[in-house]
Formats: sequence, C-alpha cells, structure tokens
Amino acid sequence: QSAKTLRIGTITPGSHFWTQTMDRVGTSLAEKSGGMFKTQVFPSGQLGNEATMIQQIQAGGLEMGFLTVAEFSNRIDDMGALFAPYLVPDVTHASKLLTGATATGMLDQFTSLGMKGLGFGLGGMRHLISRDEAQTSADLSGRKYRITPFAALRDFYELMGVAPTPVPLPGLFDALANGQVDGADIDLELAWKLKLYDQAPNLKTTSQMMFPVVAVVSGRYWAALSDEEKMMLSETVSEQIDWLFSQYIEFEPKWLDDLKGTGMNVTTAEPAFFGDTLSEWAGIWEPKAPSIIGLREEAAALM
Amino acid sequence: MNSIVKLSAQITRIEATALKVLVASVLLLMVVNVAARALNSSLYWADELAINLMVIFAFIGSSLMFAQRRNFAVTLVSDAVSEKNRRRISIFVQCVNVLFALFLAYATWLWFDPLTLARNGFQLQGFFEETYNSIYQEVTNTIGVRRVWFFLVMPLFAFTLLVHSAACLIQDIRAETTLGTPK
Amino acid sequence: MITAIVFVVLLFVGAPIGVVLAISAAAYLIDAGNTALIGSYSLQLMSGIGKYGLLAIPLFMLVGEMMNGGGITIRLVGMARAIVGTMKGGLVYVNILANMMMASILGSATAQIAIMSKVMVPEMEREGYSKTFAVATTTAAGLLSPVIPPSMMFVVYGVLAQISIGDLFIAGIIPGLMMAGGFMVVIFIMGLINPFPEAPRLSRGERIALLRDGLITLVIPASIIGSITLGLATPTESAAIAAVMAYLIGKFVTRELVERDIPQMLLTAGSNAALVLFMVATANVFSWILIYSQIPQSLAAWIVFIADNPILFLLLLNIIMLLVGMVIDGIPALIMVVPIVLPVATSVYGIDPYHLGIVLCLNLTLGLVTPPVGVALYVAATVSNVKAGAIFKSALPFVAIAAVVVVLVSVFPALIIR
Ligand code: NA
Ligand code: NA
Repeated sequence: QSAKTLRIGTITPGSHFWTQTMDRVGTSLAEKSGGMFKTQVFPSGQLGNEATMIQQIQAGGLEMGFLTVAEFSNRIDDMGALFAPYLVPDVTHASKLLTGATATGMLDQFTSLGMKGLGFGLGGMRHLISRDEAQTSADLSGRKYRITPFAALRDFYELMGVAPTPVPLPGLFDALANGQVDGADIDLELAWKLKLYDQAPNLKTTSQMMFPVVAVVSGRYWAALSDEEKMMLSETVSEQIDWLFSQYIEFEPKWLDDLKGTGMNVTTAEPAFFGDTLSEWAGIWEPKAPSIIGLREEAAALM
Repeated sequence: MNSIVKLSAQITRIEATALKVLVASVLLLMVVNVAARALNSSLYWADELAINLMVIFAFIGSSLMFAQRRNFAVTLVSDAVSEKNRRRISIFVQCVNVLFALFLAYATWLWFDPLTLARNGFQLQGFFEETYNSIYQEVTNTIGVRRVWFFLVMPLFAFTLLVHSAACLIQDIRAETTLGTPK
Repeated sequence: MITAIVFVVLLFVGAPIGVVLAISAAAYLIDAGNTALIGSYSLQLMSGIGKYGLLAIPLFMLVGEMMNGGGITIRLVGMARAIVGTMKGGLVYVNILANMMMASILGSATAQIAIMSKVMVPEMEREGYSKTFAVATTTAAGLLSPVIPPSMMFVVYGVLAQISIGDLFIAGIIPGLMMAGGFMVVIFIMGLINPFPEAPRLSRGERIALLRDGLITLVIPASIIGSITLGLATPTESAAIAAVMAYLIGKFVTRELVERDIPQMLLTAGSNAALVLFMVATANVFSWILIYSQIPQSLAAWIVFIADNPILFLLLLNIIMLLVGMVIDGIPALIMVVPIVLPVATSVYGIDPYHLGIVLCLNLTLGLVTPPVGVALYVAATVSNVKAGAIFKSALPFVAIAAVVVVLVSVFPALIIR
C-alpha cells in the first residue's frame, strides 16, 4: 500500500491548542499506521483563510481542515444551533455536548458540503470584556463591540442594540486601547494572551456561548480510504479532540486566575443579564437551526 | 487583427474610468465608515466591501497596465541585445502573456464550470451536489451578497488580458511600436 | 524542477514578474499532477490581496498624489532644505531627511518611492546631479518608509505573530534611525570621493520662510497619529484620513490643488497600486505552491540543524532572507516565512518575537531593492524612466550600509526598544 499524504490546514498559529491538536493527530497517526499516513500541518492560514481552505478541501487539493464552526455557519444555517446562548454552563459540559448524539448527528451535514465531519472540538466559553462596566445588557446599547463576523453572533449583539464591529483579532488590543471599540465578545484565552486586561479592565464572565471548531476531511479523500483507515483516522481525531477538551478544562480556571491577578474588575453575570435578548434570539434562530431543540434537551440531561 | 487592436483600445478606456470610480469608492467607504463609527453606528459591511472593491480594481488596473506595457520585468537581457533581437524577445514575452491569459481562462473555466451548471439546468443545488463546488452559493460574511459577483472579475481579467496581450503581440509583429524596453 | 526552469527562463527573458510567478506556480501544479488545485488557482490569486491591511496601499498612493498635487510635498522638501540644505551635497541630505518625514506619513516603500521620485528627482537634476544617482538616492531613502512608523510590513508581521503593532513600531525606531544615519554617512563619504554640486545659499530670511511654509505639512502626520490615538480610525483608515487632509490642505491652504486633476490622481494612484497588488497576488500563489511542496519548511529544518545558538540562527536567517527577498517581495514573503520561522525562533532559540520581526522586516525591506525581483526598484524605474539595473548599481552603497544595519540589529537585540 502506498503512503497517504494528509495535509491539514488551520487558521491558528503553531502555539494554539487547535494547531497542537492537529500536530498530535499527525504524530499519533504516524505511529498507529507505521508511517502509512504522512501528515503535514499548515498553521496560521498559510494555505489561505478559512473560506479558501474550505474551497481547497472541496476541490480535493487539501485533505483536512480544523476550522471554526462560525465559518461553516455561513454555509449551513443549522450550525448556528451550536451558538445558542446558554446551551451549556462551562467547557466540561460543552465537551460532553459536542461529543453527544445530537452534535455527532450534525456532523452528517458536512456531507452536503462535500466533506466528512470527523468531530467537533472547542475554544473557550465566550464572555464580555469592556472599557466601561455594564450592570445590565441595557447599558450595552449604543456601544461598539468587536465580534467574529457571522450571522448568529451578529444577531445576538444587534438585538441588544450593540453595533457589532468586525476588527481583525490582532488589531483588537489597539482598537480597545483607543476606544475604536468599547468592548469585545471574547474567551479567556484571548483576553489573557492578547493582554486585553489593561485596555478593557472590565471582564463580565457570562459564558453565554461555546465557540466550537470542527475537523473535516475532503469527501473525495475519505471515499478513497479503506474502512480500516477510516476507522483509524476518525478514532485518532476523536482521541486528540478529547485531549483538546482536557486542555481547556485545565486552563480556563488558570486564565481566569491570571486575569484576576492583573487587578481586573471581574464580575459574573447570570443569564438574566441579557434579558429579552435570549428569547428574541431563539425566535430568529430556532426556525433556521432546528438542531437547537435536540441540543437543549441533551444539554439538560447532562446537568 | 485590426479589430483586436481596436477592441483593446476601447477596453483600455473603460478600464481607466472604472479604476477611477473604484479607487474613489474605496476612499469614500473608508471615510464614511470612520465618520459612522464616530457617531456610534459602525457600518458592519464597509470593510469587507472596501476589500472586495480593491481586489476588483487591482485586477482591472493590472489589465490596464498590461495594455500600456507598464509591467515590472527584468530587462537585463533585452537591454543588452540588438534592436532586432529585442523585438523578437518582446514577441516571445507577449506570447507568454497570451499563454498566461489562456491558462487563467482555463483555471476560471474549471472553477466556474459553466457546462456542468448548464447541464443541471442552472439549478445551483444540483450543480453543487454533483461537483462539490460551492462557488455559486458562498455568501460574503457581512455584505450579504453572493461572493460569485466579486469572483467574476477573474474571468473578466482573463478575457481583457487576452485581448490586450494579443493586441500588443500584433503590434510587435507588425513592428508598429517603438520598443525600447518594457518599462 | 520544471518550475525552477520555467521561473528562471521567463524571468530573464523579461516577462512581467507577476506573470513569471503565476506561470511558475501553474507549471508546478501541472507538473505535480495536482490538477485538483487548478480550480483553486484563481481564488488563491484573489485571496492573496483580499486583506484588510492591503487597503493601505492604494490609500497611501492617493495621499502621495494629493500631496504632490497640492504642493504639500514640495513644502515638506523645502522644510528639509531649510534644515540641512546648505551643507555641501545638501540636496542629497535633504532627500534623506524629507524621506524620513514622508515615512512618518506613508507606510509603504513603493508608494513613497513613486511619490518622492516625482519631486526629488527633478530637484536634484536641476542642481546638477545625475538622474540615475538622484533616482537611486530616492529609492534608498524610500526604504525608510516601512521602517519608520506607520509601516505596512510591521502591521502584517504583527498580525501573523499576534503581537502588538504599536510596540513593534516602537521597536523599529532605533533601527530606522540607524538606517537613516547610515545613509547620511554613505553620502558624506561619497561626497569626499566625488564632490557633489554646490548647494545654493539660503539667507536666514529664506530659511525661516521655508520652515514657516512647511509647517502646514505637519498637519498630515499629526492627523494620522491623532486619528489613531483618539480611537477614530484604524491604522489603515488613518491613511484615508490623511488623503482627505491632504485634499483639504491642497484646496484651502496652499490652494494649489486643481479639482480637475483629481480623476487623473485617482487613475495614477490606482494604476500604481494595481502594479504592486498584482505582484502581491501572484507572489501569493507562488508562495502557496512553495508551502505545498514544503520547501520553506525544509529550509527551516536545515537552519535548525546547522545553528546551535540564537545569533548563528539569525545570521543564517539573514542569508536565507536575502535569497528569499531576491525572488519574493515584502508581504507575501512575510506570510510564507513567519509561520515557519516564528515558532522555531521563539521556542528553540528563545528569540524575542519583536526582535525577530524587526530582523525579518528589515531583511525584506532590503529585498524590495534586490534584483531580480525588487518591486521598489521597478516602481522607481517606471516613474523615472531609468533602467532598474542602473538604479540598483548606483544604490549599492546604500543597500550595503542597510545590510550592515540588519546584521547589527540581528547580533545586538539591545537595539530593539522593548
Ligand atoms: Na512609514
Ligand atoms: Na528582491
């Protein structure tokens, strides 16, 4: 049997847990297959942005990607379900929900894009960081918040009267420093690593959303694998995604402590903070993303 | 032959006008976005639109530069040889440009895959399920229009580049231009 | 292999460099039988320039056109003349100083060279300098643009390395001053060997008048810094603000800007930007196939194999980057190299990412003028009608001193303000 090249593209730099997860997939596959799978990981969007990588995966020029579900929600409305506010309280529950029956079933939808979905992973839970403190979501009205640009998240912020502002991540530090944006939808990892604590000293830990990522393989590539190879690839990805979950479960509390250690004003908010926004968001997205119902039921059973 | 040269000249005029309008639009968009944000109502779509307009004018402008023979090139060899050989080299270079235009036309043909689209009766979903090519269905993140409208600049570029390069080639063969070196 | 032959033959026969890069990439795809990617080729070409930061290129070009049209650049040069213009070889020093001032407005060497050539070259010719030398000095001085903030190259590096762009700008200050100082030393030595034309004398009154007239130009860098620090604009948008300010000053203060000329300015700015962007787009497909074929990755592995300490690593990196800079320019080269080199440099050698960024950006700034592919060289040649080869030869002393600065900055991290 000839060696199988497996090129994996990610948008994150080499130091990020997502890229490390793919590096580990490569190492593990090489061991298990006795060098049969030759894996190359391309970090930092070297092969293009996520839209370009998706196109290359569809064309069969790139074999695999570890890509944000946000980018896919542009193409499959139902993926918006994974961004339903308050599905899960923390990364531990998120990891269970993302490997549960409903989410696993959602992976089948990637077939419609010419891909095989192997598994969902995640970044941290989303919180609010801002220059000025907000007591209720009403205080947010009229403010400008940096968000990742995709419809499900944009709707959430627009419902609160926030002007969602797409700033490239590396520009966020400066944008917060000079008041070009008033705050950001953020996870603890970024808040810590991008050193946003001085520029935006108010952290409201809301945990209102997950930020999932998905491992996808080109449909053509998948079809050409033997059953044994499919099993090996799919199991390896699941194992390493479990490692990814464990990293976030371990590091989220550390990042929070680190952030508190900077003298940041850290407050916790209950779902009531967002008031009517939650039901209004559900009104828009439940019809578009029917998996919301199943995910909610499964999440409730996890509690 | 003459018609190609004439067509190239006409395209050049259109391209110059389009370039002016697009550059002005990009400037205006950025300024308006700054003003809007100062009034606390950021234009969510302004940046993405400005980027796409820039991509379009970059290719329209590049095409214009080919028509005007204003390309960056290494002229070491053509500077060193006789006028006659310089013309030969220039003819070869224009052939290379034609070849590039043809390759680009082929690449965009594969990408847009119009025959398969027609075979599916212009049903986008059917086309996609057959080819896994999402070119016609991708939507921009913030502008809310299909990306294919912007992608169209590539086949357009392949076409205008072909016309301009062919026109330059014809002029070179007829020895109509004072060559010198391409600047 | 086929790719390399196609590349070299087409390059030296004088095909447009963008076409050389694009066809070489195509040859690789066909040769490697990776035809699945041919359908992705056009998108890769487009997405190479579909980047927010690149919007600054046409905007910088436009700022320059407006400044020229409104008589603002000439006032800026006048101010430099009042400060250093009466020294022997004064206009050459003026050129460097005026370019330093301009570099605080523009963030792209190509934009700056396109603009400054139009003003400085005729001035220098009028005072008896050879045109080639005038263009070469202006080209070299234009290299200060990406080193003195604002700088597009630093912005792109900051984005790739996920570090603060503001801090990078500060880190670039000393290397930028060293480069400018090095250029001045070169001019001084050149003047000793081959005396420069006499500079016209300026009376005290004339000097004061030049300084007074020039003051208004300071509004433009002030509006850039102001709009960023006040949170009105991103660094990219500040270029748009600068264009508007240049328009307003040209129209209402100097009153030299003719509204009728604006379409032509838009056309010139758009054309020059398109020339540069086409190179960026094609260099992007070229580096895409290099990445695919794992060439940069193998080179990085080779450096790690050879170098056992950070200084040796950086020196080897300088050599590699000199070679990379010869064929791939500026931003696409950064996009190709940074993701590969950064993790190695920081984790294996413990090099500070800011230090690495300055070293890489300085190297690639030099690459803008190294043949065979040197976009700054070609912009200068296009604007001035002097051959690129002649410009490079004449600019060699400046390039050499800039290379010395790069080596010094590599060896002495203390030169980077952190
Ligand atoms: Na600058
Ligand atoms: Na070069």
